[in-house]
Amino acid sequence: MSSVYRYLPAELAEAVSCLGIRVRRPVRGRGDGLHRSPEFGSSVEFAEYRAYSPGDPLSRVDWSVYARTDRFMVRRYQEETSLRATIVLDTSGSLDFREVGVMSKFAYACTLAAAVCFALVRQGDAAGLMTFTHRIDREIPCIGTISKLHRLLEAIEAVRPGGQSDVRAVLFDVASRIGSQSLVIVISDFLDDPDRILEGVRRLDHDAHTVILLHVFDDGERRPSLSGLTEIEEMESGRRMIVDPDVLLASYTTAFDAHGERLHRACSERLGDYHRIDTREPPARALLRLSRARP
Amino acid sequence: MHFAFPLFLWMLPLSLAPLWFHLFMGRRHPSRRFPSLMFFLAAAPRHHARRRVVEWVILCLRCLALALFLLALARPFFRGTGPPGMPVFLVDNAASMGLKRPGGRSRLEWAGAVARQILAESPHHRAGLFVSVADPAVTLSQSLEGSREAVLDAVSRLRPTHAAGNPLSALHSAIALIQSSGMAAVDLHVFTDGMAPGWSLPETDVLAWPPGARLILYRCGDVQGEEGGLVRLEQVKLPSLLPVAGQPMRLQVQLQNPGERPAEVWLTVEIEGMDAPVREGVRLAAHATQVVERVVPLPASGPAHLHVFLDGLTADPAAHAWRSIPVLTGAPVLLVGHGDDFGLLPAALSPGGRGDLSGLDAQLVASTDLSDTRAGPPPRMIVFPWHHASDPDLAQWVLSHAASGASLLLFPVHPDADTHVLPDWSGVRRAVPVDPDPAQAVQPASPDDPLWHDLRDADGMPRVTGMVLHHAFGLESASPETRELLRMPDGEVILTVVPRGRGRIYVSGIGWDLRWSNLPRRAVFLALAHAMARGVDTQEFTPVVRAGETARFRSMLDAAMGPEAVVRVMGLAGDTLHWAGTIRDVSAPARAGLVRVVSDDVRLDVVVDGDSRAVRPVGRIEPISHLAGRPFDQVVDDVDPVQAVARLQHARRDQPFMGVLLVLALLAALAETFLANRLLTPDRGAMHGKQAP
Repeated sequence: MSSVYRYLPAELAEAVSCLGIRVRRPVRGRGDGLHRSPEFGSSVEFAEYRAYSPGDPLSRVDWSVYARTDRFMVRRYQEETSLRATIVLDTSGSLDFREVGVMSKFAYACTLAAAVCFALVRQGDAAGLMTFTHRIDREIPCIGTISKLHRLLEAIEAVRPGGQSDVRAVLFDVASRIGSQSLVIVISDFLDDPDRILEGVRRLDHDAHTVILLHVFDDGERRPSLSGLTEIEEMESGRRMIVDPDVLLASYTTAFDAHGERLHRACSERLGDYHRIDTREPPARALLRLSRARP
Repeated sequence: MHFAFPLFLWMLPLSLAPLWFHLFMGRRHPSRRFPSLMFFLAAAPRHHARRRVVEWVILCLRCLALALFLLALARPFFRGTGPPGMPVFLVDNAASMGLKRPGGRSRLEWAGAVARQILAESPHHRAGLFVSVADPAVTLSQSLEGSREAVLDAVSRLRPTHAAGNPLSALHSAIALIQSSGMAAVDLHVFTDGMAPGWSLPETDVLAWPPGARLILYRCGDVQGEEGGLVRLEQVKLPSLLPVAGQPMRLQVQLQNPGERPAEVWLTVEIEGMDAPVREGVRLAAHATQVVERVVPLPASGPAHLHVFLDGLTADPAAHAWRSIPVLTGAPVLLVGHGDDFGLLPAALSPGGRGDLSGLDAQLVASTDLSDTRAGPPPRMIVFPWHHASDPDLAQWVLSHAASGASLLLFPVHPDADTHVLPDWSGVRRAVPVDPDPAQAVQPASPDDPLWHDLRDADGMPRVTGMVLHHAFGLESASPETRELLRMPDGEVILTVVPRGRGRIYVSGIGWDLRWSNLPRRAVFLALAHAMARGVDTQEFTPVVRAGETARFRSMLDAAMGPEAVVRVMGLAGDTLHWAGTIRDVSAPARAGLVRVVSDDVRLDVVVDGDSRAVRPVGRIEPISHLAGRPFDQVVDDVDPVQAVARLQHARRDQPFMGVLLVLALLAALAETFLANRLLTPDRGAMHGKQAP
């Protein structure tokens, strides 16, 4: 497929066309799909046993269990449905940074968003988009067909970085806008208090959403190349600070890694998935790596 | 806190220079835009805040060091927190310091008591003493090495002088010696009532005071009211008869004390050119007028320039009176007629010969020889018999002299003469013979007539007693100006006088030998003859003009010489004035004295008296607030010397603070250096170890 979209070049689209994004949690979708539904259905995949209730079809009775246990148990099978995913894209000013990466964090995030949308829709799922700073700036409802994918891609093309981000508030807002048991992919640099971020993630988790956090960073952000006293100006707030890299550099990197580690630990326990993506890594490779890790 | 050099305080805003440099000219670090500061803050949560705090602390220390240094340059000191300094006294010993304070002591005595008290309690062994008026009786310490005992002794010998003094000169000397001594702590005690003009120094007259010197003023005297008024010279009363050259002259001086307290002045009466003026103290009660008699010797020739003046603290400085007094030195008395006609009168007029004792030189002149007398000096008196009065030439001649001030004496020659008709100008209409009763004494009439000036008894009545007439002619007044001088108990007048010009015309009803009366044997005869001969020229000149009274002076000269006259004004006595110009431009002399104004044809002698209009009460203390640009550190008004010194001891001397400020400035600078180097510059060796590759 040829693409005229900046954030979804043709080679990337081809690379992610068979990405195969899966989720562990049951999801509520529409129609058949590839993902486990919280409801029981008539797929071939065994789900569980249930005690026989009068009226159940006898064909469902597992006679081998009866032979073993003298109990009448009915076999239930999983239902599979399509996935509804919401891509929550951070467009705050802090992403407009590039030092050592192949592209700026913003461009990288937009690329990820476009690629994920494409991959989801391609595999028969639905993908929606919400761009945010300190609030949701734009919302594109879920789209399940390729023919309408352009809305998402065009929306991604149109966004520009700027403003301050508030991940917690945005995730709370996202939770109120979408149903339950869906996939939420948050693409951001997560430069905020991890506790606040995790509050937002918990809110989504409360609604049984599957949350994937894609933490985009530039290695120059992780290990700044500063020499001598330098005045640092924060891109979003304009705050300034004079830093002495000789004094702070090691502690800074440790703090940076600790931040990511915190998010990773919290997500891996039960909240979802967390992936830290270095902008030096080509987006396609990053997504492939991501797809292998099944949340 | 006070400052010796407060000019440096104006430079204190410069201590904010480091702040200004930091804000506007500080080194700018390279700036980088970065996604977030959160990891920097997380890495060293207090790094930025601490760094900013340290930077501000360093700035403050720099500003503080500068400020402390500038304050130190201003030489601060705390008033009255140090020990008392070495005492140096500056005592006003001008005349006013002799006035009494409440309590009876004079101002100078009070100052001495306080000074002795200060010396007794001073911990220093050295002291100094300076006075405003040089006094040889007081041994002054010429250096501050003078012992305390020597200063004590000098203080005990302080006395008021009669001068105003030169306080500024004494102050210069005191400050110069203090500076040369190198003493850091000196208390300069100033005792004065501020009355002498030298104490009111202009504020621009600034001296370089030694740092550390304390200036204390002791107000001597009563600040409430005036000690006394200024005694004025009211009147100088001269004898009405011309004095005789070489003989003492008695005069009376009337003084007035308008003040509320008794006053003492020095009255000086002198004749210019004569040695030994008569100078005596006169004490007047409050609001009193007093007449003082003085006798002064006269020169051997006249006129005598009399100078009467007052001096002393309570004397009116304008009390100067000058008088020009003609004196008799062999003034001729012309006896016109035959020698036998005059009896003993010539001997009475000139008892010593040619005017040695009386100043009168009786000369016998024939009526036909009057032309010879014109070449000589004008006669003081012309004596001639009645019968010569009808001679018109003689009459014209004698009347002209009378108009100029001479006396005329007409008398009868023969007691057997019939009634005589005397000329109208004699003031007597006719004379008729009378038979006097020898038992009845002649009595004086008109006791206030100047003729009796020197012939009064203790009761003030003319002393003409025991005069017995043998023969006489009664006189009948023919003019309202005629005055009776001698009369008989029955009313017959035997001696009259009538004024004529500046002179007088006496008409006697008796002759001058023993045929007429026993008068020539009585002592009063000489006095009476001299009184008639010396005349009653008004010798008390009314002060014509007062010093500075220009309008009246010009008016007087206008009347005498004409407004366009060109005059020369010369001082005769009391003033060395010498001026020439027109009357329109002349000014009255500024000082008392005698001046002579001469034009082309007129000569006028003018008496100028001092101007007493501008007087001020004496004794009131004049407040002084500073001395040569330096305000007083303390002012003492206490009456009791012990209390005054006790109050002084409580207010100790100034304590300098400069050293402390310099130390603090140095500490601030060291702290700033420490912070800048230790806290803002990291331990680079340790940091390299911490930084992970």
